[in-house]
Amino acid sequence: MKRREYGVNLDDGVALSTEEEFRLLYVRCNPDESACLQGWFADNAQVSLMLGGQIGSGKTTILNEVSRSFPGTQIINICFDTDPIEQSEGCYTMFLLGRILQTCLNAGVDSGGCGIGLSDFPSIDADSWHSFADKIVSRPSTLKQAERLLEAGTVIGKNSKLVRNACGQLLDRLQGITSRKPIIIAEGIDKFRPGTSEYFSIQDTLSFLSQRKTLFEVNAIHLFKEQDFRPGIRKLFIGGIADDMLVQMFQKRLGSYAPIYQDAFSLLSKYSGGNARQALRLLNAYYFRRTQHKNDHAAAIALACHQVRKDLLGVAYGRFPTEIFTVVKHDKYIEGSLFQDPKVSEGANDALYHNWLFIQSEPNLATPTRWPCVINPLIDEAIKWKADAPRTPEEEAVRKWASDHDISPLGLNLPVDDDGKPAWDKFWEEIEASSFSDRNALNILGLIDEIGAGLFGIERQDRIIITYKDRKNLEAVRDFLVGEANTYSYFPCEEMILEGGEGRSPVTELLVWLADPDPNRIYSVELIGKWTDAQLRDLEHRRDIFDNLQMLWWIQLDNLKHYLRFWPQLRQFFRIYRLEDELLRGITMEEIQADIDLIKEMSEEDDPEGVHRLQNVLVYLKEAGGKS
Amino acid sequence: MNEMKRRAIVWDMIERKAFRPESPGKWLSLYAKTLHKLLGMEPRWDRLGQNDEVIFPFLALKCCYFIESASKYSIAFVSESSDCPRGQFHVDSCFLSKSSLQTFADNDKYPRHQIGELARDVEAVLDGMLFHPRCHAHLKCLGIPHVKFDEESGGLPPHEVRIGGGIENPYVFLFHLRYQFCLVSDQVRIAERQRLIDLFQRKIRGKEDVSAKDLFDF
Repeated sequence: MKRREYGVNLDDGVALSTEEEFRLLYVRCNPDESACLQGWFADNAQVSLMLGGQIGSGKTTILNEVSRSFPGTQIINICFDTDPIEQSEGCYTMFLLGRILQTCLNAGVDSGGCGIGLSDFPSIDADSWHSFADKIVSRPSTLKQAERLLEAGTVIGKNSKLVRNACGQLLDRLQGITSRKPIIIAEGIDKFRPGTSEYFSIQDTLSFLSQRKTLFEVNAIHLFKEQDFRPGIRKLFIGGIADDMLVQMFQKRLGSYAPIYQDAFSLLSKYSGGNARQALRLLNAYYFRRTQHKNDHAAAIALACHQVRKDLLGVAYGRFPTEIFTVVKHDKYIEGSLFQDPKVSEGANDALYHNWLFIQSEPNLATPTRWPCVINPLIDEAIKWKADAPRTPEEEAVRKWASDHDISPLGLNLPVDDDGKPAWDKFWEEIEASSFSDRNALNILGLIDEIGAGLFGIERQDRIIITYKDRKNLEAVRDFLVGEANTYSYFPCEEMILEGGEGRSPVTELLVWLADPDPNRIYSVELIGKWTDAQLRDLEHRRDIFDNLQMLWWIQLDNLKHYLRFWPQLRQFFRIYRLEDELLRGITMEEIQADIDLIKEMSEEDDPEGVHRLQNVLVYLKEAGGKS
Repeated sequence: MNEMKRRAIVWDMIERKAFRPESPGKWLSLYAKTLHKLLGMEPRWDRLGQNDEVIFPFLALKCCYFIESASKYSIAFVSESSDCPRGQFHVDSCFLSKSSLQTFADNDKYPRHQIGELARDVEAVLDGMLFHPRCHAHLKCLGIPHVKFDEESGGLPPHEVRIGGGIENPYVFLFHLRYQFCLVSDQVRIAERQRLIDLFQRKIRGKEDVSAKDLFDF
């Protein structure tokens, strides 16, 4: 992603990866963990390692930072979340084989005599191992190619042990040539939620890899499931980031403008709970409120908290671990055994996986089972706990503003039942209701105001979910957004309708469509049909393929409420807006015509996309009688 | 031809080439859509008309203007938080000024045999017109509260803002604000200054107009 050398660099918390990003934006928040990882990469005697942290804790950034220090090292990167064509044992194993083969062949390893032959995979139609490896790791560009990969995946699924043995032999030969253990990075394991069918499907692959020098990128909950990897496997936990580090992060993100907004840093870091992504999203929302909506400090804080809580945490009420909340609030730690206790593990895992709780660090030696832990401040602050420390005048001002303006969670006190006990169900109903209330609905001008920073700039690519009640005229809304983006620069748009449901393969279609992604393009995706749970989970796993893409997703409101239950990870990459029913209110034909003229004059193309899009809007407005 | 006369010609050429737009709407639209780039900020959805306001959020300041023609306009700086006016200018070409009396006739041409001086002349003219107007006021004079930028990240002190006085062309006025409120880094200012010097020198040599697209580096 291109960044500004000077000035503001905001986003919704995507991992840093390029040299420019590290130079401009990186704060070494976890020096001990970085040093530990450096040691692991350098030491040939090391074996497998789990690098664990909660969603948004900065695992990928640390990993990118450390692996940059070993430029010449043979590293086999395998993205299990995004790259296998299907979530099945066969496809995971096939992808593993492909990546190992590629590395081994490049190093001059002889691939013969491993127990598998090219003729075993006729659907791949490869005339050499090089070609075979490339074909099985490349994202298919047609549905026919996808079918062939799936066919090969089925063959491998029936012989997965044999194929893993072949992988083992290849790795041994590579070690023989390089005199070093091959380093494997198994990325994206954090997206695999324990207990799901896809987690079950990848188990044998994980066990195989854990016998090698593999680094597993996992969620914090996986750290409590070492038996799924290798008993006694070494673990490295990425915990909460200290407030002063978060402040440094804010300073870097705002560049020269940082002092102007520095009064907000202490509260923004407090409400971040030590989580990097939550911090960056709060900063992004706060900055937007201050600079574009002219909100004062207290209002901007309250609204930023409201927006981020709505995007990251709001869920349809299900099984909420209220008893765990109460204990954590009181004890400020969570017992590791809770994540394995059959009675409460589901709730504990849920709380951790959804970032309702933040584990701050590993237990200390004196209390090795107690993990220091806090309730996510965006939830915690919504609750009127009796034992809370007195609030600062600044916090009180924020809460008062929120309360006066009926903004939750700040200012929303926990309802109590007739006995004076917390009414958790009601609390969550209120949280959920506030997430999707009509009051939050935006007209098209409000929406373009909110999403403009990503839509109009090349320095960031945001992912936006636009939800609506009535689909009518949605094309005109999309054309308006894309057309207006083209008054800022040339931003072509690709559209896709993904229909879910039994017998359909929407995620495969998506993979084919995004085979060659372009960060300067706007991708407009409409989700329709009755998506199955498995399809929704599959999309959840693939969230990293949307990284650095400018996306607009269109989802009907009731459907989105259902989908969000399946998307604790995916939702972290999106901001969600609700479009009011009167979709194009506020747009005039004169302004659209002026923008058409502007694009015509500025563009060097014969038929600029922006003109075409805005002409569609003009036609719609004419039919609607001048104004919508 | 002496230096002063040459520079008067260059000043006039620059104004005619870039700051008397045939389509004020497009000129102002591009102003709105490119401002963020120079200031190193996030883009915002914006259109500007001839009676509108430009917002500089980091100073909590808006600049409200009304352009009647390329020689008649008014402009006011207003505090965003209190809507309190911080300073106003009215320019009306019905009345004389010293500079209007000294405007050279259109048929005055830059002397070809002195073309080697053009670069320095363009630089000197742009300095006086946009980058460091001879007659200027600092933010403090307008009663705008002191705002600190991070100098370690390249930020400039607000003293570097010089609001020109006696600017008779509204487009020049708006354009010079764009540069003056760029406090994100001296490097950015240096690069923008050089870009404009090169642009105008090239266009004057090529006898071409300066499109809004080029002027705003769209």
